Amino acid sequence: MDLKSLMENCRESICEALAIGPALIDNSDFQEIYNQVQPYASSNKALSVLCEKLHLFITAVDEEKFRSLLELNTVVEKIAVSLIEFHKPAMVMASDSLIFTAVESKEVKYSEIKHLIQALKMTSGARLNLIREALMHDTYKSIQLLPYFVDNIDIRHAETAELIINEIIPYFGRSCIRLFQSRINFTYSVGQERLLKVLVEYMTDDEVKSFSGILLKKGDVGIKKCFLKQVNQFQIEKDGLLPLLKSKSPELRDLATGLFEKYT
Amino acid sequence: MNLLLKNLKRIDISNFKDEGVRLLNSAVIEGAYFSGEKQAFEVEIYDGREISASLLLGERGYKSICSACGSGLCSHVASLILCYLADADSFEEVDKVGASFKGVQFSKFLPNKKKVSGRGKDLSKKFQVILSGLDIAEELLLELVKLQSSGEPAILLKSIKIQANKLSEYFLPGIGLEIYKLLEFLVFQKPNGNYLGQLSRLHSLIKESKTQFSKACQEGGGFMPYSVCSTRCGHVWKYGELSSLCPPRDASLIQLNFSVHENLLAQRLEETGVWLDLESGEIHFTQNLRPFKALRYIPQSDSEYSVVHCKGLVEYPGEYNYRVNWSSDIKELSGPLVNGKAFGQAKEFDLLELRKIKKLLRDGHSGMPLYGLFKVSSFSVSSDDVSVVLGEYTLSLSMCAETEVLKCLPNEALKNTACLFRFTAAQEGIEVSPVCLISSKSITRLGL
Repeated sequence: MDLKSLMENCRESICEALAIGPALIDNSDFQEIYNQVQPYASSNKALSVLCEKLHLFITAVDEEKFRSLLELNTVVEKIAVSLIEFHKPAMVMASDSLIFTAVESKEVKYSEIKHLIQALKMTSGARLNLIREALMHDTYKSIQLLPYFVDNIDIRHAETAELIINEIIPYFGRSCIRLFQSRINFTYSVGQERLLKVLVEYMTDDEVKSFSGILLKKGDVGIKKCFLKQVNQFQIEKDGLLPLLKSKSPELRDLATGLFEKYT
Repeated sequence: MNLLLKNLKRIDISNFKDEGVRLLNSAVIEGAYFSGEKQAFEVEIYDGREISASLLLGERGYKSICSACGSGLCSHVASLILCYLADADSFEEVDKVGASFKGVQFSKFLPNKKKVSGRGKDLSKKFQVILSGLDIAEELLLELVKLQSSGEPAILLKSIKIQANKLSEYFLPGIGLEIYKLLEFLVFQKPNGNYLGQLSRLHSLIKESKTQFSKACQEGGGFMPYSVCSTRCGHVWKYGELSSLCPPRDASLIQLNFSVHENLLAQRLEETGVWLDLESGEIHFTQNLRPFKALRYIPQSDSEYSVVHCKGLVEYPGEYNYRVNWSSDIKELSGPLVNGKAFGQAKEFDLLELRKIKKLLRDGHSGMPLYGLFKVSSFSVSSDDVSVVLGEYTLSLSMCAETEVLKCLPNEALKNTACLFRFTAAQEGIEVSPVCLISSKSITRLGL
């Protein structure tokens, strides 16, 4: 008996009972679950309680049916929660080989940056002024703020994004690389172009080369074009360019050809 | 006394109860007004209930500002003071007394004559009210189950809302809020796994609370049950009450995280600090609950980077991490010694811990995430995924802002570390998020 899927079935049946009303529901689903659980009830305390509650629900009528559904749900949820496990990685991998030095993070009090945090989380017009204020008071140097700053590079408002790229990112330098990479969604937009530009700027040639393999595979035409404009022949795999030489997009084809010729 | 008033312009009585009582007694009876001092002092009073008020004492008398009526010395201000001095359980109880403010003899409420809150006082009447409220709450849950199948769900929904609001009258505002949460869910969505989980947790809470309050009633009703259920039902623990139930102690704490959550349903800001006890290695938390209506009356709490040496630390009832409060503290700058000490307090993550966490996520009533400080064997970080090896276990970290910050740290900084983790139960599994990284050299906060 797969207890996990059994609990899932039970949950679905309870949701259904709640939606149409326990009085109207066909007991057959619950009876089926009862039949599956019953043989194991004597050996397991939790299953014996579940069995009991299932029986009560099946046999109950009118008002009592609602009450027993509530009781049944509590037991099912307890068993279901006890079955959940910690998230485990599909494959245990070693860390990537990215090398950079730790940046000194400033200890900033929440009260000093609460408005900035709120503004960075929203598309508020106050963002720009608050970022300027943070630059004046050096509060931007807190590493906890970095994910929020990086999120605000991929936005339409160029002035805010440029301010972050020119004034804030240089302080954190290469420590932003993993964040930039995780935010590349391989679809062209002005924000993505900006993000790609700053990513290439901070990566070494070898790092760009290994990243180019993924980007040229997954990216759309727009982002590929934008990437090829940023890189030189030392930052890209020759093999990665070959499929682009036959691209339907003339501009992409020309860019790829230009880089390919530099190799030869 | 006047100096004290000058320095403590805002007095949050819920934190400085004894001090607050003393100050108010002196201020009102023989303080600035009566002693003819020329300086004016502003005393802001708030006790976590609906009404808050500020009292301005000066040579011309006292001026009060009340959040409820905005008038001068009203019955609210007076009864708020009285409520505290008399250690009354509800505001309504003293509202009438407050109306005859000037005739009341304050001296009879002086601290040395005052009974310790909760002890020796017969609470059985209150418990009976709570028990009848819990019966109503259980009925409301049944109504919720009937809601979807009801022919007129809108009418039923409205009636449940009204009754849930009324649970405050039965000292159960916490349960009322939980029912409200379920209702909000049903307005926008159909019942699903999350809904069933919430429904079951609330059902267990009501059942458990019923058992505890019945037991407390049978035992004579001398004490509020020192349990998570009392807190979840909505009981506001006072410092004096806690210190009589759990002996106050001195402790040295260091804050590892500070966050602010806007709880729109409860209409309040929840400022939560997570602390490490440098001596015992326990993880505690502090909470400052600031209703939107009374924001200006309750001082906000903030991140703290110093070591806090607390005097008279008391623990609220809890399960894994305990909420704490203390009477006074001295702050000291943190340094490498403290970091080393904090690092030394990290535990190994073993089967016992794993079982404990799972059990509490299943049976716990606190509704709070669990925090644990564990030694980390290694982190595996890439742009897409972060996992952590804790002894024999390898766990994936959930993709939250804190994990993002972890990605910004070089691989070298992730070796020989301990990490404070937050554990929360979700439908798909137990989510693990890093909160603070501790090495023998530094403490790096990952969250805000």
